[in-house]
Amino acid sequence: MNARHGWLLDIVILLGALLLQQTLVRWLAIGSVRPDLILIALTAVALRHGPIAGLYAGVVLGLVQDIYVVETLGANVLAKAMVGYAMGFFEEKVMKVMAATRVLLLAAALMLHDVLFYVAAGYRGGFFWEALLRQSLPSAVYTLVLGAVAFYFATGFKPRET
Amino acid sequence: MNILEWLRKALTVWNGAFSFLLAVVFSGALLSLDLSGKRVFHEVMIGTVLFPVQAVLSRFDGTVGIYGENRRLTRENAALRAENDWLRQMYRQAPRLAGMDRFQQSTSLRLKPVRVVAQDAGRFQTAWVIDLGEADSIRVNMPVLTSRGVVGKTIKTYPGHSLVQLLSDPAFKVSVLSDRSRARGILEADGPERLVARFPAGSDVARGDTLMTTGLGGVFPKGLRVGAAGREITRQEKENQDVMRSFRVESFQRLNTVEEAFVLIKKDSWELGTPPEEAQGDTLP
Repeated sequence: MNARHGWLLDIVILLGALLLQQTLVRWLAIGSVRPDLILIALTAVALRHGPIAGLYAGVVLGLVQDIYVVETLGANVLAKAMVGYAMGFFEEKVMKVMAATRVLLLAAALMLHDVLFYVAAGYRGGFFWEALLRQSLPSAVYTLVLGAVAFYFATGFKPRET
Repeated sequence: MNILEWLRKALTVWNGAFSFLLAVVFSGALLSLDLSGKRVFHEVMIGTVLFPVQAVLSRFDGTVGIYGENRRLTRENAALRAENDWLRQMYRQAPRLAGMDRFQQSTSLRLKPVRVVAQDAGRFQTAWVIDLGEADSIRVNMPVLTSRGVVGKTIKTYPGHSLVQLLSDPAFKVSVLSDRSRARGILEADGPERLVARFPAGSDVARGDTLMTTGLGGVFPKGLRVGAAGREITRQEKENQDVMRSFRVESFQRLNTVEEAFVLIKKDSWELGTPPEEAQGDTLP
């Protein structure tokens, strides 16, 4: 697969994640716990293409999500942009992560995203911790399981092309 | 160096630090907008940049929604159709049941309502299965009738159901009399779903006479309506015309339309050998 096809595939993955997050996820939900397919796709793209791609992908996806929730406009942009950048930067500059370690990076991305989102959206005190423990943590576990499966079948845990 | 090249370098230099800074400033700017500013931004974005995304999302979501809604509506439609059929049956059954109730109230006979739950599998209807049996005081040789007239008698009973021999069974015979002349004869089946009443030659029977049970034989009490005498069977049709007069009989109750009936709980006084004075109350009022 050449570089152009690789990018096309990533765009399809991001758009597909966006579509599925808006539609399929309501059937995958367990109570109020929903997986974040967009974050899985964003992490995958950031790990494949590095911090700048992760950053812009995060900005676009965050903006699309933010548009639907006017009150927290900008919070998703900030959280996803930083997560995309951080994941790409970590993989590219800090260490070449092993296959299984990518799943742990996804877990870190999930928590980092939610913490950034809650802070940016203005969650404070008990409300912040309650949202983190009751919503983010179960969703992170759920997303992690789906993400591990998706990573395995979609990329085969192959290292990023350089 | 053209401007695009310069811009690309600026955005990617130092691991995209400038891009990162731009993203932070952009999100910060969005976060710092007041609610009305956010709404304006939201409307502008929805109407312009995100319009294609919104259209695709709406269509995809709508398609998935339609699939789910279609399944729900199909289920709901099936349930409503079944309920509608059931209500229609109830609506049609109501006058029939009301008629049965009136009949039961109007007579002094001890009638037990039963439901026909099966009929013989043969081409011609000669037997029914009813939903009451020995546990409900049903015994062999009890008359089975509707508000219009006699339809048969019980010939076999089980704990929870019973077998009814119908008038149309060739083996079924009942003694009848003309209500006008009181001439007595025998009613029996003559071919599939065709009844015939035979009277001794010289009997005063005419077309249209109502035929009722005579009470002879101990199974049927006196005075139960059975049918009306039809046309007389001619010599060409029957060889024994000289000694018997035979009439077609139009049964008052069409057997193939019956869904509910009554079993007449017999009193001992109907049985053969009981004193006549005790049997007086056993006729229809």
